[in-house]
Amino acid sequence: MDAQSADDSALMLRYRDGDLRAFELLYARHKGGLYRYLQRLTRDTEAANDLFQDVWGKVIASRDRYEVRAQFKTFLFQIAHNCAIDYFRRVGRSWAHNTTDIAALADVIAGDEGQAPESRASAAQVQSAFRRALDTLPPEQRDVFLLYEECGLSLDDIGHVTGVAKETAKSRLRYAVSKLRAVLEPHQPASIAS
Amino acid sequence: MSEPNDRSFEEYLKGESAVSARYRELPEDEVPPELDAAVMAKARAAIAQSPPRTSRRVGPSSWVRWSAPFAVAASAVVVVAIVLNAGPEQKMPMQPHFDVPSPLGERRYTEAPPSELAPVAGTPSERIMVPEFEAEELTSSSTAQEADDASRTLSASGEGPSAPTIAQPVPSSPPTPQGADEVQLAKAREAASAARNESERQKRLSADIAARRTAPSASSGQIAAPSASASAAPPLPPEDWLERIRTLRSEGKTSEADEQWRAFVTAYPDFAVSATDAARPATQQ
Repeated sequence: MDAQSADDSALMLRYRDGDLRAFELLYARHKGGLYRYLQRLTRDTEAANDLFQDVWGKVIASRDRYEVRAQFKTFLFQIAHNCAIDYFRRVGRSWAHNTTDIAALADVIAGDEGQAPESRASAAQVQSAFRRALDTLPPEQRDVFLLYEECGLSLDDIGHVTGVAKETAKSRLRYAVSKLRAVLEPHQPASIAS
Repeated sequence: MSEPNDRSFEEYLKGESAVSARYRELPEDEVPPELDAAVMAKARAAIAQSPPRTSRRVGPSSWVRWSAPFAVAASAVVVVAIVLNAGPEQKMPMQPHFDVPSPLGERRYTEAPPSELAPVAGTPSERIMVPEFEAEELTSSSTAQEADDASRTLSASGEGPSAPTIAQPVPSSPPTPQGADEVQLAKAREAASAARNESERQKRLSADIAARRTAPSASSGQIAAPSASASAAPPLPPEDWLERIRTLRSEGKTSEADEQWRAFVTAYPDFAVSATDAARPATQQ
């Protein structure tokens, strides 16, 4: 547990003891990552806003029972993950149905690449293509990728948050990275693409 | 789908992949201010609804918090109960030994352990542990037979009648922090004094019993001693007795001399007395 994690836990304990200022610090530290995680996982701003409030509401409600057993970040994103699962069940969208054929997405991007060199995609276009590629990842892989990139969790913590083994989380992350790399390669200079 | 290239994935895990760089270039969506306000309002309301943590239960449940003191208190109760129950038995060996001058001058007073206090049939301790009340009852016995039995019981061990009191333990009392030795010594002295008195009483008892055994019963009309008034005294040797009778006759105390003569004849029927002995009554000379 690093210094910041220990500090996060201390802030939560202080808030548990009635220190509102501690919660303000904790909230400011994690609100951005949590919001982006939820928004990019659900691909729905309104749903992300609702889930964001739900997650923090549960953190607040559980302050009496909070104990320093893991990083606060792991505690926070486990709640967020569970809220997202509930959300997908509520709206009738399963992880499996939320999948887009990654090969089709690659074809779309390749079509852009087939244009003249001068009209090749700008950086913004590459960014947009990356964003679309991220959105088309299977939810399990997108979830793991976001937890790794956005939240900075380790594979162990990701496995704990998502309720799977570390190797399963690692395999999901490997597939996600491979697909995103496949989308980006046509747009990357040889020196960057790897 | 085939397994992705492990080398590229390892580079990604090290943070050296273009995928991570592209992700970081994505525009960061900020939390709307209304969401911030809503969350902070919830946090504030939660604190307002509940009192500060310092005045509430902290940490584990009340059972867990009180388990340790409860265990200590229960252990203390158990220990005190054990000490109170086992205390008197444990005090006996802890009492000091005293050299108390015994009434017979040959006994060494030592405290006997509880196991030795229990009488065992057929062993000397059976006699040693004859209770005091038994001797008292025997002293007041109305028949000589009972006294004789008691005398045999008391003397059969060969250790004399003082044995019962020697083996009696010193009455124990709770030791005091200060002056415990003095208290014990005083009690030992009291016990020795009591033993001495008891020894003397037993001596008298034995002498009385022996006299009863020697003397004929009063109902037979016989004289138990040279003098009826001195029935408890042992009889005189024959020669002395005869000399005393002669003296009485020479002093003119004929009736008394005759009485003594009859007693002598009864006590020593086989003793040869000359027919002309002056001790004989005049009618027999």
